[in-house]
Amino acid sequence: MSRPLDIAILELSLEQRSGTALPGLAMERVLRERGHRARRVGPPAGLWERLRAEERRSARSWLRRATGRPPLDALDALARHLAAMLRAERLDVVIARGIEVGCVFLHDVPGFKILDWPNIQYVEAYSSSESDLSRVDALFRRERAVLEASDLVISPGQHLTRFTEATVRVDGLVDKLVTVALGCEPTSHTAHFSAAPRMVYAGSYYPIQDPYLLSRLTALAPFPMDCYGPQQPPDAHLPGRLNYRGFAPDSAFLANYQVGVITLSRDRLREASPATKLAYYFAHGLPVLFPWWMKEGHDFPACAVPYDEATFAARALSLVRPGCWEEMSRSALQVGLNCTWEKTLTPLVSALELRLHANIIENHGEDQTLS
Amino acid sequence: MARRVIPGAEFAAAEKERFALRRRLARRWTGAPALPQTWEIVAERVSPWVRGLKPDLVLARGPRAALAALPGDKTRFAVDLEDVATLRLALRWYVDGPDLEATSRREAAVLERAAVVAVPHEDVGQLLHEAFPSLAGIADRVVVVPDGMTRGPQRAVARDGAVVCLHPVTHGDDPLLLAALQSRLERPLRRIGSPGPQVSFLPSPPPEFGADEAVSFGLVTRLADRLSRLCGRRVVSLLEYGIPVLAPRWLAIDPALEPAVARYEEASFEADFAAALARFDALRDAAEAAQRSWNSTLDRFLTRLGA
Repeated sequence: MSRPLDIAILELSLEQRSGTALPGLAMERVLRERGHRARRVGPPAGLWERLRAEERRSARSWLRRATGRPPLDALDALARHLAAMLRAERLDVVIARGIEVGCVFLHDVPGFKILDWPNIQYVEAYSSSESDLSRVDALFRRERAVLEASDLVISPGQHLTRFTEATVRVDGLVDKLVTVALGCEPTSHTAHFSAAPRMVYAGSYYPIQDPYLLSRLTALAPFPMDCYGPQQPPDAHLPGRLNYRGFAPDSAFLANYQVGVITLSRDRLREASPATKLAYYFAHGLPVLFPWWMKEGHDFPACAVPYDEATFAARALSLVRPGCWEEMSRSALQVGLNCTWEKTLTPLVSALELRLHANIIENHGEDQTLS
Repeated sequence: MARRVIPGAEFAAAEKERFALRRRLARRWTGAPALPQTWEIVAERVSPWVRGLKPDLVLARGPRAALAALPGDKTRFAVDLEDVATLRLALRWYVDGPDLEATSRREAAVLERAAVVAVPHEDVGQLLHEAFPSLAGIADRVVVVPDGMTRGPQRAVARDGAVVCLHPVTHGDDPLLLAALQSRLERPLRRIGSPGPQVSFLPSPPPEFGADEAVSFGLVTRLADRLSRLCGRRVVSLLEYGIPVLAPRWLAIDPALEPAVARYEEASFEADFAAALARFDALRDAAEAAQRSWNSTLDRFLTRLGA
């Protein structure tokens, strides 16, 4: 065993309740179990929101314009704050979770720099409605700089890795890219067959999850579909109301359902992106219905079934037939057991320890290596 | 006597004005949940002027103009929509609930009030019906008005010619897909039009300008989301040059133009291109036969308007 590493896992917010927080929590736990000193850190509560508000104000400030000063750049201000915070500590590794906090690598930061990159920000902006290509390009240039400054880049799924390799032109990126799949927590709460089945959606309600599609599916579903998530979704504009049940602090509630549902927008990034909820549905023994354009879903034909709006109801009914459901649920549980965070994070831990070892030898000589 | 009003500049100015101090103070004062919408500000500016014209009919073109142009009860009102404003807003990167709700209410009021709703494809009508299930009788007021054509300079069309695309590409044209297909084409891809904005995020440079080369197909790319896939205007623009078209399978196209269009999927692009070449003569003849004037496509719409 090498000496424990001091690892900071940098988050944009330590309070977030969505699935985005789960990989960071899992990294902290698994790295601690491997003997390292890992801890999640982030900016003070409310700082990011204050900087964003200041950015909007400064973009309209006549005083700034009159004095020729550019508007405040919230990401840059946040990065400077975080860099100062990290420099005050003795760190071997900084794992920045997301491009927003990854901007810290554009400043002088100690340690081995790992960017956890679940979302290609400029492609997300590209996929957004009424996007402007110049703005997308500005985001790309910043993202490229962060990627160039990172020592290792984590992609959360094989399909996204392939998409990244084909789409993102950044020198040296392919050599830094490591796929670390999303995982789940083992659980004893597993679903049971029911003659009165129910479906569940657990997640956020941003455009990328396509609440409109979720609303359509709620109307089309042949049996009840409940929704959970960190915040009440705005749904007055949707063609039908969602059966929002609130936020659950853990995932045990999934065992009360028979089918897990995934929705996501139809664009090139989301087609290739993995879903955090998929592994959690499997861990609770839920067969899953996923939109046919989601590539990851097709990797699990024994427990996940593709749908479109026209086929959704029929596919849902076919999943809950006696015999069929039990078989798919068993397959789902098996997949869940094979993708616990302990297993999925192994490439990160191995790459981190190997590369760090080599890095320290290169920089400080054999006597300073992990002993 | 027809006049065009509500220029785009009004919307750009209104977008800035949303955040003006006066607007923000008014919001605090009235306890409004959201900043005023862009269309509210445009409506404030334009409505008095439109009322002053005393028109017999207001025809609002596009979802944004429709939101801003809702006239008083006595004026006949029609809208020409290529998509749904609320859903377009909902597809933004991040959007606030109050903005969505206000836009949705306004759009429902617009659709309720419009005597005629012109759409370029029946799928847009279907989407309106689906997105506003509480609106009674909307299906009866929807008229499909396909795009007409203005004959462009004709290009030499040949089986072994280059593939062309229309430039500059905009966001909805999916330049990332265009770049991905460009790398897989075994013949030159040329552009018709200017190179467009210089952006560095595309994995390959924009195609070179093709002036007098013979052309085999026009290549259309398009985002696949619920709204973008309904806009097949690029197909019509290429057919104006008499060029048969390669278009994504998900793109909604006027059924009358289908004989001049070969469909592709990104995953099977090479095979789909080979299949299109195998029936090249039929596609070329259909492209030539697809020409139609605006007069012919607008006829039904104008009849419904009583114009």
